[in-house]
Amino acid sequence: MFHEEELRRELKRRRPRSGREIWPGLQHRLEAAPQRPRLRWAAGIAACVAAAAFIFLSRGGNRPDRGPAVRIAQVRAFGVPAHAIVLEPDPHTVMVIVEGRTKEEENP
Amino acid sequence: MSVFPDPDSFRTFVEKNFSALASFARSVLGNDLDAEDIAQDALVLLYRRRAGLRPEGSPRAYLYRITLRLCLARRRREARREAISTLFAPLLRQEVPPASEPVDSWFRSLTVRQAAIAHLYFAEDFDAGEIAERLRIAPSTVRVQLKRIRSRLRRLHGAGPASERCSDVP
Repeated sequence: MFHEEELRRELKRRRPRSGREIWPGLQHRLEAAPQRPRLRWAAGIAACVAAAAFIFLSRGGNRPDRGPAVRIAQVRAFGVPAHAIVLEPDPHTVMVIVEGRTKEEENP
Repeated sequence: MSVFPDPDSFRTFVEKNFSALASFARSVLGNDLDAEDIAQDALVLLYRRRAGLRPEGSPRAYLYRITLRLCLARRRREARREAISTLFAPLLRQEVPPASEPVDSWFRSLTVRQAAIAHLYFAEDFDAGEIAERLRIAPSTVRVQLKRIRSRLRRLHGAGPASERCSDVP
């Protein structure tokens, strides 16, 4: 493909624009406000983290607390001891699950 | 005291070095489409960092290192783009810009560091020590790489046009 001398000649033959030609455009860029993309990214990520933390912490205060005295052994529904207590269908409503038969099973 | 105390001194520096820098970027990138952009980006970075330059240091050597890093980033980005276009070939067809001349094609077949060394050796006539100082690598590494570059050049020349088609494969 090339001898070393050919390669040298080809490289010397290149004619990019001169510094004098590009200076006006370059000067314009130098005078423009310096861009700090990394800092902008960091600021964006910090804002997202702060927003996520705020949402998480603000939700924490509204969580229902069942209190120290409520234990599953003390809960009964329709006279039957509770099998489980779940927060359904929303965190402010307690659903007590008992073991037993449905009405249809009792009266076929 | 700053290396470039006023814009006029930087202008003189740009006028003196831009062409060589753009040619260096072209060799490392393997095409002339982005070379001048990269050279300008490197000059802007150098100007913004001028306060941290040591008066006894060589701003030109630092400029070449910045350019090399920018070219490396550009080639990595190109490689990523190429990988994505291969993965989604039927959906997305975005090809790497073709090398405009056989010399560019030959430089493209080298690694980024080899291309930088080859350019400084063949275009700027630097010896291994000077190249090592500019790229901040060991002179022995430069000598080893130069040996590989020259043997690659000889191999291509000796093998003739049939192997020329394979020269784009790194």
